[in-house]
Amino acid sequence: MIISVENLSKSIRGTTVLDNISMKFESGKIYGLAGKNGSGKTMLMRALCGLIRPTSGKIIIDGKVLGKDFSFPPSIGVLIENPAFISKYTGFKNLKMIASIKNKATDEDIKQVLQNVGLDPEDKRVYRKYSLGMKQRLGIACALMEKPDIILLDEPINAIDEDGVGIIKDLLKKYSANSIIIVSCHDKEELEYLSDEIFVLASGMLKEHKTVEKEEI
Amino acid sequence: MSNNLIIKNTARGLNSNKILYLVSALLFGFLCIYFFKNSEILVETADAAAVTVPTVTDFWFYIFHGIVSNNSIDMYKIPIVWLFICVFVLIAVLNYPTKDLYSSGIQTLIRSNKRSLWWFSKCIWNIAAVTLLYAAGVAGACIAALFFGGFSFDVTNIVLAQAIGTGMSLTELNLTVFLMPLMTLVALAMLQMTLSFILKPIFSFIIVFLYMFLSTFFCSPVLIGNCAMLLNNFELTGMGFGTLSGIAANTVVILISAAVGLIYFSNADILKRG
Repeated sequence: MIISVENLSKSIRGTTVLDNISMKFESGKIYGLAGKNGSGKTMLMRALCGLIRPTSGKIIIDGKVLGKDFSFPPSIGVLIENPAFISKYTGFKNLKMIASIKNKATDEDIKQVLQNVGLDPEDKRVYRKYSLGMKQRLGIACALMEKPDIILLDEPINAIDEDGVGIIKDLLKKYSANSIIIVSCHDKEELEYLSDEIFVLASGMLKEHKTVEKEEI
Repeated sequence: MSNNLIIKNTARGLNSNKILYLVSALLFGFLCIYFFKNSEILVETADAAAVTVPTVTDFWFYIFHGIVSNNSIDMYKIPIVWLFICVFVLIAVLNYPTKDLYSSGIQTLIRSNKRSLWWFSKCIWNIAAVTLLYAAGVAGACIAALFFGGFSFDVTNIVLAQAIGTGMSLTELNLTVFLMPLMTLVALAMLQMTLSFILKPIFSFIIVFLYMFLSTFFCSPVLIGNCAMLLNNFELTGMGFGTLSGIAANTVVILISAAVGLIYFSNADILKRG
């Protein structure tokens, strides 16, 4: 799978939030989005998953234009900003309800992904009783459960403790074999550890594109 | 997958506020009791031994009778019961679609592949939710009628001194009495839902409320609130305009709301609502 972003610009109420961005993503890699608050990372993710329409330019996924050939990428998992689920449902029930739309993830898949992110699938606590870290883990589980071709994670390790961060990083490495994973993160070290390539954004523009040199272990 | 999305999304929406159906039944039931207690109910019939008690149809006519809209201003009296019920239904379905979109519903939306499917599922939900609230209200009225010993769908002269629905069969009369307010409430709720995506829900409610309120002053199919005021149904009372005009007006509002909403939603940016 290949995603090509071609001269993407987006203005909202007269303010340019994305300015002539071009980039390319391929399966099997983890891409990092770096930049300060307001640099356009989240807006770019929203554009990539079809939630906002480009003012100009286009996003092409395997030869098909997003917003023209389909409203949303056919196989995508998303965590953008704060995860939001139904407060009176358990984590498992929330994921089951969402999974029922596509019927791609079985109960076993859901239980497995919950375990993978460090949540107990049998936990009877409802979502509103979850800690911030647990909510974030559930958001990640939701993005991963259908093993999508594209995984977008906006600040996935926010509010997650040190052990959890390790678990999530290992998990993303595992999923990256068959997917395009795009992660935004404020922590430069974490992002470099996770990513194969990093795009640095500033004021809605692409400032830098670098390949991360990995040390052989 | 499209059917699956529509069914699941609609069921989830209907499931989200189950308590409202109970509130609806209680509210309508309470209004029926209020009507019973505040009216001269025991009308003696020609057969002096018999008395008439209000039927379900009477109760419904009381709740949705509204006002004759073309009366002069000095005759004007706010149709409080009618307005109250319409406001209740509109508020009951006000927040869910936008709240869902900007929270957990975003996961459903992204998995829908097509924005139009998601919008269509919300339209179905809206129609189903209003119908269920209305059906719960009918149930409340039925229970009240049972309680007072008047459970039937006949019509008496309790609500109006003059006979209503002259020349109509009882089935036609009941279809008009029960279906016209429902259809209008669905149309108003659809209009409100579409506006709530373009504006904020509170503004969409205010606009729809004012549009509805205007119907109490002027009688025209353009002001569809009239279709939910049974006093303005020509076949029932000889005043206002005919049922077919009302059905056509409601249908136009439903279709325009759905179409405008679809066009808007297909191109809208879905951003975090601040």
